[in-house]
Amino acid sequence: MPWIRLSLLVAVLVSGLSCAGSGVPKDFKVVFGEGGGVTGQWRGHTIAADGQVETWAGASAEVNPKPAGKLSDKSRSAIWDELEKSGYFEIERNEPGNMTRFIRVTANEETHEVTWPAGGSDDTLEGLLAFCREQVKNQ
Amino acid sequence: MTTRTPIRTTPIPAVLVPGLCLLMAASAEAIDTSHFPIPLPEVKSSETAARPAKQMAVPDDAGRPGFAAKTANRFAGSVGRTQPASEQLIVGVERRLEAIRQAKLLGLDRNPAARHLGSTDAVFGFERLESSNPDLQIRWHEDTGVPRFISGTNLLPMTATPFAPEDAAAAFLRDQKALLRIDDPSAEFEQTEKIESEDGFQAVRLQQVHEGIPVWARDVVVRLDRSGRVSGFSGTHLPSASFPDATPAVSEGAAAQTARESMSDRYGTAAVSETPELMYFLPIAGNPEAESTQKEPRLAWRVRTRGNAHQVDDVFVDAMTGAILHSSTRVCMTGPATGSGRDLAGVTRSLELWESNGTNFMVNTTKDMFDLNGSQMPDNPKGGILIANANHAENTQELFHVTSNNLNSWTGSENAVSSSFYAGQVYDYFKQRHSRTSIDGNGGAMILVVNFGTNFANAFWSAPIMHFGNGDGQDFSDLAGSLDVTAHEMSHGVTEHTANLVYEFQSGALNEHFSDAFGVATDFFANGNGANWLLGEEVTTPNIAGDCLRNMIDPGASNVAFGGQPRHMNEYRNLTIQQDNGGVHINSGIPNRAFYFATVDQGLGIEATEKIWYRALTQYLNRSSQFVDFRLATIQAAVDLYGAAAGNSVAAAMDAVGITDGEPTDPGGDLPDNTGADYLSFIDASTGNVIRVDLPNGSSFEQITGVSIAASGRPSFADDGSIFAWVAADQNIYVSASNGSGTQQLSDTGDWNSVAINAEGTILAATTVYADGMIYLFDLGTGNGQAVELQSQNSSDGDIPSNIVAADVMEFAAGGDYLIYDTLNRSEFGGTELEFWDINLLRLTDGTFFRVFPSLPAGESVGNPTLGQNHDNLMAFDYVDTEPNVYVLAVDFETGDVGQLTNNFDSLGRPTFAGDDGAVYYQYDDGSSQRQIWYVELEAGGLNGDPKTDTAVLNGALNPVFFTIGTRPTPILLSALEGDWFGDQVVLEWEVPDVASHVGFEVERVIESGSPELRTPDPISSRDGQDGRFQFVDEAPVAASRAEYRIIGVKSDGHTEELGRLELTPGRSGSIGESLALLPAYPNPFAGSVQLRFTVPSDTGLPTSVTIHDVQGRVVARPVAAEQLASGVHQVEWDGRTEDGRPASAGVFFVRLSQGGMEQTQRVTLLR
Repeated sequence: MPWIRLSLLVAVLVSGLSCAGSGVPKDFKVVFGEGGGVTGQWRGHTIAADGQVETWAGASAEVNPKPAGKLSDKSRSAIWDELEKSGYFEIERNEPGNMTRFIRVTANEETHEVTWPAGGSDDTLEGLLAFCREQVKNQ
Repeated sequence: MTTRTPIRTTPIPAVLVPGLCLLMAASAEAIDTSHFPIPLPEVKSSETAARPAKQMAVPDDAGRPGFAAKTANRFAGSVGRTQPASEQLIVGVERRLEAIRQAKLLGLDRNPAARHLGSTDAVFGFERLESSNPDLQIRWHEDTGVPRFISGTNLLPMTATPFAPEDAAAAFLRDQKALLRIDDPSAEFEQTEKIESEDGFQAVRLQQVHEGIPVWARDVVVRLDRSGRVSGFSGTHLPSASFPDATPAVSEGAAAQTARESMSDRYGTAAVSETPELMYFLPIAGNPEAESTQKEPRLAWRVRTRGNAHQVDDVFVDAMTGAILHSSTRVCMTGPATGSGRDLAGVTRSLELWESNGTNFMVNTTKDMFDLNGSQMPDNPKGGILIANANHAENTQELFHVTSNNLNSWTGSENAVSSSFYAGQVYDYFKQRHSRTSIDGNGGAMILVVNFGTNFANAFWSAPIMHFGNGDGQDFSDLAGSLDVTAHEMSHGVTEHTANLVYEFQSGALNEHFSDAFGVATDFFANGNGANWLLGEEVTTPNIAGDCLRNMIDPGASNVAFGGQPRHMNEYRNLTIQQDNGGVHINSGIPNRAFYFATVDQGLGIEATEKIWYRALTQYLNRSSQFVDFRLATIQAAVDLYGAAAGNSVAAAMDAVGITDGEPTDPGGDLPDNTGADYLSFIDASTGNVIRVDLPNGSSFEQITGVSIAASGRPSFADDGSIFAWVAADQNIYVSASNGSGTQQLSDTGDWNSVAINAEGTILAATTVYADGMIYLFDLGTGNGQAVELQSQNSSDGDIPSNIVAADVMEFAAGGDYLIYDTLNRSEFGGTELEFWDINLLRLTDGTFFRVFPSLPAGESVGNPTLGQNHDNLMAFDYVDTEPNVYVLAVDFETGDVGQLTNNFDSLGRPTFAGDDGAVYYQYDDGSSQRQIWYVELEAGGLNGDPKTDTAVLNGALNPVFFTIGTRPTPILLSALEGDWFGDQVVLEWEVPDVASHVGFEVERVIESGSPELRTPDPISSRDGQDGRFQFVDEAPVAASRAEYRIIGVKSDGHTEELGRLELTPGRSGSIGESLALLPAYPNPFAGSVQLRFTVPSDTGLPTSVTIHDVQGRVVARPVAAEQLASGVHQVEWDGRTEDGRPASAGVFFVRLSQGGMEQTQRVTLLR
């Protein structure tokens, strides 16, 4: 009997040790940035599944990555919540412009990417981008 | 006309075998007709309209540079002034009047109107009005208690003799002086105007004075009806008791001096003044100053002061204290003004501004495109150049004017000064060099936004606005500080309004190139010998001298910040869409260098070259033009403008950068032979029904239409021959299985002319009987339709504009997204109307039109085009000369060679290729006795018909169409790829089944997980192989444990495609024949179709399948259905449709390659 109780206790403890924001997929990864314009340069960030942040800048997206700290679970969760709340995953938009902005999310082994032209009036996407940037900036 | 005698002596019956004339209900292959009959769709709208300019708000932050709170108040105060309290005031008065009436009725002594009726006399006066005017309306000034408005039918009791209007007005004022609170109206009102309107009503205007001194802005109007009765009063006068002593303590000279100094301070200019005039002054209602300061009228000197033509103020100087009470703008001060300011380089620039009531806005309205009547200044200047401030926001949802209250002081707005100045120069460049009015060519406003974002190190165009960031101080300084950057961004707008080059891959690189080219050209225009061939050097890496964004002379030069660009096509970077949209900023270096070569090396000079380039962009290029189209366009433009020598110069410039000659279109190369059963369909000349006969035996004749076909209703077969479409004699569209079963009527409007069905049987093209110049495209899977308006082509003999009347014969290319068609055109030449037929090509992926034959001599026509069965580069067609005599000709798009198949005398041939395109069937129809189908074989290695084979094969038959029932095998790209890595060498060998499919090959290498390196600076020519086999020896990578080699095929138009890849390790050999493998799908994600590449190992005898599965594992498509495939690299396309032809929903799918028990899976994403 004690053996059973101990097992149960362990099970409870293990479940209690699950990460805060357990709704966030384990493989949740975000890449966001912008590029093009007259310079042709691209700048942005990558937030890996473990929260590690990279900043990148170069002739195309995600080149020359450099470590830029680590995002807390709370911030990762906040980004995930914001993406869900905004309806990001339902947005189907692949519209590069002279200056292109994008957000690419990998979660549950699926990747969803949205690109749109800078200077537009898409409050949702602009707001999401600003939110992601803010989370990275405030880490 | 020559009588043609058939060789066969036994007539071939062209009638149906009995029993097959009835339609059969069962269908061998059903077609989804649930959307039929298909209504004529509306033409889809074209590009969306540009967003309206943002509303501008003058900021009220006094801390903003060069901006004063006072100015803001003035601006804010002049907009939309209303009196929200007036409603309540009216209600309050009515209640009071009602109370008075009630009081009178009740005989009350206390009169509630005493609040406004300041005396008993006023009450009596009011009672007189009320008793004589049942409809009396009276409103009051709350602050002074005097009436502001009185209306009735008889406000002044009439005498026997009518008063003259001015006398009646004076009498009214006297009669109601108590109500008006005026002691002596005769002395306190001076008539200034008498107005008589056409309808007989009159009015008298009177200025208020006190002790002979005018009261500023206080006057009254008395109105009279047609009978001369006083019917109304309105006024803003002040009660007599309001006024102070009339003796000034300040001299008029001192007042004038004060006024002039005030004006100078405000406008920064010297002022002059007129003789001061003594007045009583009280600020008018609604002026915030009035509410906070002055409550009573004060004696003042009014000094009319003048700065310049736009600056005339009435300055009121307190006659007792000398303080300035008020300045009132005398002149409606709105209009253009010239000022100056320092730009980002510290240079003082002349500025063209817009001034409004003391505020100077950075809006240039001096260009001839400005339209004041169409403008709402200063926010929406039609044809103006407007500089706005994003105030570091990352969007333009709220923009602010750049303003100053001093024409010549713009401290803190240096970037705006730069923008304004440079924008004017760019406008002048396009106007003077290319006669182009503004970005859109129609005088549309040019809007530039500075201070976009924070540390935003870029500038970009997003219609209709150009955006400039301040830079980050390291990579870039404020990007408004560069003329060629400004011109570059504006040129994107020009491109958008002309060729509108798609911003991807080569067309995108051309888009970038034209912006660079006009950027540099503007620099030369503005600065002459002071210009250079660098882009953005003023703002790039401010801490590093000599750097630039791009270098037109040497795109790969070391002073190109952030990495150089390719200089030549052999350095062309084959990038993915995720990599700079396919390298639009990277590969633009190649045409950039061509521009320089044309200008300098070839000696055309900048002005000629820019004109050639501008013409090419605006009149020749299309949305998805490639580098080869760019070459053709610029050469032709040069010839058109300056002659053949100029064309040769441009050609040499293109050659120098490796943009070589090639076909403007590449409808497709060789296709694998369809080895199914061959048939020939034709129209029974006596019945009009369509018959099919098996080939080569000709033993079985079957009628496959139950109704007769329209004269123009040539049947069109899908590539696998399973179904066909036609237009019947009732002018409706039908589809049927190719054996005639399952006929379905697709339309019931009875106004269709011709149809064509694409290779997959999923798209139908149709024309109507109307002269509408349209082709209608229908998706047979969804029922959606689209109307395509055909573009006009130049007519015969040069640039005579023509109108397209209608299209007729159409055919889809089997191997690509092209539709070839002929059109009837009409033009006028020398007062004579000409009609002629022409052949054109429509690229369905982007709607680009191509002329197949650029120019036709007057009186000649070409038509009835048909493409090869296995070679989309072959076309047969009818050519009619001026006699007229008809020849059936053939052309090879890849070589441009034309051959004569046969002389068809006076009959159109309506040819169709047969078999492996080594022969052609055609008709001969003399309109009466001779209606035959003839057959001719092509001479070996050429395009001419062999006369010995030119034979009649069918009598009483017309309009032949060859088709095959069967499928083509999956194409193979590489039949072998092997490599050896031993010692310090890697040896690669590969074999291609069709050498002609590529002009060359490149080899890329990826070491470990690094970036691809191009190992062949010069592509390996396809002529350097032996029997289709090629070899490349590479220096082995040092200290690497593995390397992947990729073979890239280079097409004739410059396109590249990966043919296969092989991973090697040191000391090992490798071969693609060793494994079943999926190569990366491309593009991925995809929107239309995706190329699936895979390797099949050495012959196993096992069938290979490629299936597409959804996330639930269900099979949605089978691009390869259990086929026996040879070893090597194969490619197949999935068009994003399910097995039943419907478009699959957007989402993730899995590509599964399987052979025997082995499988490989790859994820692809379909976007919609």
